[in-house]
Amino acid sequence: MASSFKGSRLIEKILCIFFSGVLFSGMAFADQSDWFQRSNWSAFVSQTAIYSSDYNFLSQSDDSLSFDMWEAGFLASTVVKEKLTFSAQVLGRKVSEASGDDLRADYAFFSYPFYQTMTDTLGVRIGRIRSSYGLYNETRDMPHTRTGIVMPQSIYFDMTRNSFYSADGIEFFGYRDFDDQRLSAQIFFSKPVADEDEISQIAQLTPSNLEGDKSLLFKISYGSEYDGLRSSFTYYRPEYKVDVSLPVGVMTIFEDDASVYSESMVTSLEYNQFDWSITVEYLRHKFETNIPALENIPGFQAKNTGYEEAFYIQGLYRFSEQWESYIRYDSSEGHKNETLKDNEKWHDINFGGSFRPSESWLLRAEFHYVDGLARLFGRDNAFSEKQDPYWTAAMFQVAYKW
Amino acid sequence: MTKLKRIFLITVFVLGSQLSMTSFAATLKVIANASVEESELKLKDLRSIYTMKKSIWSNGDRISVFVLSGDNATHKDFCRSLLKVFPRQLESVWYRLVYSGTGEKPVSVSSEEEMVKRVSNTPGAIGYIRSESLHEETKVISIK
Repeated sequence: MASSFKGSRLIEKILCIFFSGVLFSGMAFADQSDWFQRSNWSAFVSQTAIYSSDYNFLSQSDDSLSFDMWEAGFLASTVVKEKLTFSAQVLGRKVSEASGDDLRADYAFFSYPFYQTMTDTLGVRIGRIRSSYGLYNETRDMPHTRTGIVMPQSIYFDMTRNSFYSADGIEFFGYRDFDDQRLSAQIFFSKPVADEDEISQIAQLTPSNLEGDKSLLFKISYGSEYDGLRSSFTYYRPEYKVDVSLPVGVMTIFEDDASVYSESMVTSLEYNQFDWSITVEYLRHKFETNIPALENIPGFQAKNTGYEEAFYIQGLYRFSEQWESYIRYDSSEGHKNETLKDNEKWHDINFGGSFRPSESWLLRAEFHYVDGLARLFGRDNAFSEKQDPYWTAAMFQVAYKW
Repeated sequence: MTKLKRIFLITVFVLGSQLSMTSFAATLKVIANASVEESELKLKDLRSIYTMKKSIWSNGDRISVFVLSGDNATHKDFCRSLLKVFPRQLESVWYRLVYSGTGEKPVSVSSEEEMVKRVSNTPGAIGYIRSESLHEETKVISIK
């Protein structure tokens, strides 16, 4: 279990127990009143085997077959009363030896549509809510809703999955349906969930205390999910407060008012036909650390800003109801004038296939040829000065859902 | 086999398979509870209902959506012939709603008999069958 954010973990455990109680008592009393109607539960589990050359990729897979990576989710939902609904999911997963087995309350929120007609809906959600970043963040952990075993790492980084996945706050949403096309918009004000392991790694800091400060997510989208074009634009900016100590010459400076933020703008396009789909998503990513104590120290600057541009293009073909295959080019580059370092780029050509023998079972295999190290976990790999940027990975997955 | 004969056989096969698919699809019926005011729906509206986007009827009643299991032949035919989608694609749309906590999937029933029974007992319900056995509390919805 990761050692970080113990306070948050306690809140999650309390949430889990409380909401599980609500849901199960709800299911028990559902027939006797108009409270807790249409209660449902779903679950899934997956196990992945990974073999990679040269580096550990989402597991201890360097030149060996690793079975480290697993995911399991349990979710429940109920109509509390009339239009008020409640949904919650607990997710267990392991994608890194350093982070270990992770169990967390992914989301737990109430949703209420306060205005609803045949074509229009306006509503509000309150609680721990999934960040609807890009086309696929909301359902990234469910194997049956993904295209491949791993999400395109350029846009949906597994390095910061916990910090970007959900947040505690309030979201206003609205949509209008034009036949089977939907125009929707949402704005989400929240306090980010902070994972010290993840943020310290991307910000290259060693924080003694990390806390989510505030975040804003805005998204607008239009189209149909399975016929024709759909498009969306997402703006997401989570901010964190952090305490750091830094060696400056012979001294160590301690700063308890440092901050980190990440600003992402994702433009997404997808075209779906009966037996094929093409998806393109483009990310403009800015991140900044601010350590005010360094402002007046010669040779140092308080603010350090980085930029990254990333995109992926993916084609999917459905041979039949059971068989499909995909091919994807996934690219990310740090935005700098000088030559890119290996750990600032990620060019991944990957392809794979899936077989669904029944509604519940899913089998997948895929292959990655990668140039770059930007999305490898530093905590799982000991990088040297002269590392080889070219490496490969083969992955196999079996998943089951209830 | 001569070229002419081969072309004839291929034509017969293609026409035959098209005819059999047409007659197979033609027996599919979209049914609704008698409380539903609509007697016809556009195909786009039916798709919106089965992707769980459209959730209320014109009279304000909630739409209760019923489906047969994913491996049922009638369900496969309904998806492919009428909605023009693979059943797995439709499932993916439902699971995106369910696993994001923002919506529900349809109620799954195990047989056409149960489908007729549940639709007839549930105000605002919609479903589909291939059999002729309608209940008096259900009606057929024509698709434009």
